[in-house]
Amino acid sequence: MAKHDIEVGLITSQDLPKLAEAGHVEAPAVGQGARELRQAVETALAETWSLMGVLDTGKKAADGGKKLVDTGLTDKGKDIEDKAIHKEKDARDEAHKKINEDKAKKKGKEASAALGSSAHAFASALSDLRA
Amino acid sequence: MILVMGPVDELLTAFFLSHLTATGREYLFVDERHLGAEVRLELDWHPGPPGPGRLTGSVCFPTWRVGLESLSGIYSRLGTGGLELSQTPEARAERAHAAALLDLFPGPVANRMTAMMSNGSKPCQYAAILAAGLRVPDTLAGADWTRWEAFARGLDGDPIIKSVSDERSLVKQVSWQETRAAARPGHPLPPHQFQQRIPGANVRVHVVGASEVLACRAETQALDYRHPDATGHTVSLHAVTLPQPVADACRRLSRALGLDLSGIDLIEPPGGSSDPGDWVCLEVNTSPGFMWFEQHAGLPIAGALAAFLHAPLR
Repeated sequence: MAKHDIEVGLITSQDLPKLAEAGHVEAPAVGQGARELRQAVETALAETWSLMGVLDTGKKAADGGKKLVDTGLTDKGKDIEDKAIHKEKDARDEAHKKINEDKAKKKGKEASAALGSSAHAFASALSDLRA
Repeated sequence: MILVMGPVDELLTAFFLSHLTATGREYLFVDERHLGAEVRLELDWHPGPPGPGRLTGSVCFPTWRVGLESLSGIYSRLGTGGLELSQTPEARAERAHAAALLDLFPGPVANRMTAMMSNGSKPCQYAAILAAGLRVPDTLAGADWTRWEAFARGLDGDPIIKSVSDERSLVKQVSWQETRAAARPGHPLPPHQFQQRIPGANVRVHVVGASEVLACRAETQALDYRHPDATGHTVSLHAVTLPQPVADACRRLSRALGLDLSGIDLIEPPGGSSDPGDWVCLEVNTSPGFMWFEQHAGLPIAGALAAFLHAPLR
């Protein structure tokens, strides 16, 4: 199977300072039903990945799907790839929209008093990933 | 549908939710910060024979609710992400309800609170590991100085020092003399374990539903492959297929610990072996951060977990 070096991955320790500076993403609004909740979750996810500097989550998923096809692991790989490509565009659009909306909001916002706890939270995030 | 509980900005929670979204799986998400405020859990436990009818209830939002009978499985990352959670009686009560739901839910749960408790004691895990047919390292746990000398003499090289509990630690190889010199009379060492360093390759095994086995080998010069940058090393992860007897031992181990998702750290003997008795198991992670391994080794762990949690209730 394919060999991947850590440097080409999505999440590295270099991402952590950006995360700590940005602080936590707020919990998504629960909405008036499961559909609204899921929409709020997707918005929150786009924000999370944009803070991570990872706007190509869908692209990575697409690559993963393609790899599944290439390696013959599953015949569902193509389907996953197609869906992920569409998702990639949606996620990127959503993330950009969110970033633009937040720019104005965050411009005058003072550094969060919770920055210390955020930094701690994200400092432990990478460790959690590899646990 | 799958119930996911955890903070939305906790990376593994976000990764799994992203996977569910991308693959069109139906899910219900409860952010841990909402428990006891916007979200409550209503649970009713009925005496009687085991089965799906014993636990009834709902996940309640301010203006809507979802019955537990609509849920096919649960994925929990509660307690992660370093959140400063509300300590109101309501919030604490709901977190207790959530823990009860994880333990009592009749379908698949990754993972149940009680099943995760084995991670609190590595020596406890070793009993299950041995019963599953895998080896464990020679280990001294505790802080009895009088026993260290004899243990150290029997080792080949300096011992490994690591956490004996679920407290996270960076695994290190230490000079025995330096460790002893650092000890302060009257101040016993906090709980640690000392082990023989095992030669061989690090292999991480994720077992989903005690059946699907997804493994990768870590190629690195670092002692702790999870933190290679801490010692100036790099690591390469690539997927491998385990020998069938070793994969079966991992399934047995995961099942014995009651885990629907486990991350098993193995050392493959130099030259390889299909005998599980030749493979050393260092520990079983009961809340494995599979994102890193999925990204770097291409293992479809999220997909396997989603398929397992989305299966209809038996």
